[in-house]
Amino acid sequence: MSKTTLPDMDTFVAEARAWLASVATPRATRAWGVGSDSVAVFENWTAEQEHAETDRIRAYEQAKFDAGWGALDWPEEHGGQDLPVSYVLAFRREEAAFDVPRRTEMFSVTQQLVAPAVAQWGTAEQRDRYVRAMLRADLIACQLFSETEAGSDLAAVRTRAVQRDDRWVLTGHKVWTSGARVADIGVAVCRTDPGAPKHAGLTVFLVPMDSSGITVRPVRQMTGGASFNEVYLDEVELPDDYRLGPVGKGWNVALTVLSAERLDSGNLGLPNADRAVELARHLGRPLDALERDRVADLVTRSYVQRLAGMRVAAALGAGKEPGPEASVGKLLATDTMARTSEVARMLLGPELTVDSGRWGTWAWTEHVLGAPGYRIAGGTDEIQHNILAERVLGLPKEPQA
Amino acid sequence: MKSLARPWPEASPSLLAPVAEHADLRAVVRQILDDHASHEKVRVSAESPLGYAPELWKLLNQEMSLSALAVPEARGGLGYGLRELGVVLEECGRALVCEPVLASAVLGVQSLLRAPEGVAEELLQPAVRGDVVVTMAPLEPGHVDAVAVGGDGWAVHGRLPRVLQGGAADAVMLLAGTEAGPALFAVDLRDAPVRREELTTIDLRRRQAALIFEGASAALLVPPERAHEATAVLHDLARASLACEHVGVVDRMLSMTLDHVSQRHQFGRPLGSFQVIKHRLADMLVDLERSRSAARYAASVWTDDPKGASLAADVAAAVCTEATLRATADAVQLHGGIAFTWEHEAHYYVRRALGDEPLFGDARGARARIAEQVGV
Repeated sequence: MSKTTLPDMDTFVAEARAWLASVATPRATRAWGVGSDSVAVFENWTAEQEHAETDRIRAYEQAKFDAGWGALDWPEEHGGQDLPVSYVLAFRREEAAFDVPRRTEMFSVTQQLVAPAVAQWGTAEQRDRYVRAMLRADLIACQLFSETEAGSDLAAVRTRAVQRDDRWVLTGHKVWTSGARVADIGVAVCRTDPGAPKHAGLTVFLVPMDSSGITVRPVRQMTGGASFNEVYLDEVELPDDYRLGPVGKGWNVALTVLSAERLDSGNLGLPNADRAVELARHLGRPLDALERDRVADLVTRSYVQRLAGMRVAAALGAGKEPGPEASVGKLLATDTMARTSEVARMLLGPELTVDSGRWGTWAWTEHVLGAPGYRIAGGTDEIQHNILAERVLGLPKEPQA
Repeated sequence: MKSLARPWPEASPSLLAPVAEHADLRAVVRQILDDHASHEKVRVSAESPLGYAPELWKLLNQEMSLSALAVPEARGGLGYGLRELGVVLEECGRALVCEPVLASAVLGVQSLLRAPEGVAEELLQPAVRGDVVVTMAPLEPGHVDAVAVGGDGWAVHGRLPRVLQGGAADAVMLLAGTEAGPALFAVDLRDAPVRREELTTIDLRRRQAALIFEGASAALLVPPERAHEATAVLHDLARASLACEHVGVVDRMLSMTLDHVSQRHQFGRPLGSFQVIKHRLADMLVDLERSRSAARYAASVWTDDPKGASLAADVAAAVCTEATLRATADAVQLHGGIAFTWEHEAHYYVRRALGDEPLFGDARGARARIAEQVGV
């Protein structure tokens, strides 16, 4: 927040609306019974579809950046506007009312998680090479973090990076990577010192995803679709200037990436919760008392999740750090998603379990089978509980085994 | 036919922005309650014949102008709203005081304000100063009837089975049937032919009494044609206010339990280092933040638009009622045996949660109204 005079918020909002109107049409309320009935939590795209969708979103993000509406809270040196984050949230509120391409996870990973980490840990040359390009979505990044033996315990990664002459050689196996097929760069957490204590022996690299030795394979998940990938690194050679941050400081770099997540989980699950309330209204039969109670319970939960988001936005708008309401966001979202599943099951009964071909019924299997994934992704619900207990409430850590 | 409410909050986020004035207000109230409303002091006040400490009630009104806070300046108040009163209610819930803050400063005063200026001023003015205690009976028809007795006078007959602070109140606002339908009345109890029966309640810090009227004179506050709307507004007020108190209760349960699990050691470790305990406290924190969001939003919306606050008030009631029941039960469980003793303060909070559940309708009732409002 380095600007001394900020633009008037009403003027800012009016100008944002005018620009959005010049590139998109207002989002129409989805009519019931026509059009797509998808409530998928995870998109199931072929490689071609994923490339096409990514290009479509990228074109919009580039236009937005060039018109001065992207990177609003970034310094001017990276093509930003130097505005407080409250302006970002105000722009997003306006944007939500227009039919613009909805950003997939890859874009928030690139712009909200990876770009700030490069800005913080990168060399001057790396900052020049990557930050602006990531904010403009010219380059897309994915996270090469999790491994089969390193899930919640990220510091247990076994992918090795060894120095050979003036190059690093990376070998290992990463899993649960979203967007690996379309990403230009993978942010890889690797073990560079097997002799050091586990958190101290890590280093992060920015791996070009077209490097020789990289193999990407889709992972088929519980829904039947494939929305994630496993990535094999087989003797991938990189010059030293692809290393992000000091050797041995990979844990700190990874934490920078992970800690930037909280602004984005706010709306997770809400569109499908609203959709479930619509389902209850259009069921074609009166609800019994128990069903009405469960639908109303879902309304209270999505309502309060939105209020928590509003509190975060209001605190940021007032120039204050949000309190615990920001840290509970992910748990509120996965709770909303679980209650949405409960309502869908209750209202649809056998139409959820046997495909009747009827619009807006079987489609809910994608939600019911997809929602459990979010309790595991982005820091499991259990890790979120640990974070609340230790960082917000100040309780002692578990004694280390 | 009323149009359906959309199932999400529609006010601007700025409504929930932190306000420095509120933080100051909270600090002042907390200081007064720390000094004058320790657990032991409140226990003594609650067991006294009156059921609360007149000195503390006087202090809150003199130092804080508590009863005047949410009254328009034109009616002798400070011109703030339920938003600010909500801060005081949170602190009262936290300290679990037994003074008639909810009954008089909120419900009694606000129900008097539903009347046009000039009506029942002789009750409103001392109530705003905190010199008299006024209360509002549950606004259910069927308990009391009113008959016109010439001029603009009325007389009421009937029995109100449960009135908050009914034993100590100087006046009660109630719904009474007339030939044209239910209407809102005020009855000055000070010299009226009224019998009061103090009731035994599960909540040891919130007295209730039955009031039996045999022709007591009453002042008409809101006539039958507007009574339905006024009743709805007061119901929403009651639920939003109680939700604010509950935020304080949940906050106190969390901080009390956090202190306990940090200090108490078992198996050679602080209780709070066990993951099973940490996750229970994290859940309590989630409940607290959900309650805060819902109660503060409802209080703010009611302040700005009392007729448009139904959905927000019902969401707050549903969320905070259940959070309070859960937090008080979990606080007992996580304290272990010590919290099951009579001497420990935990059971007062458990009793508050139980006593409040049916007070203005339970969570299920709130959800039934939510379902109706959003059209399912």
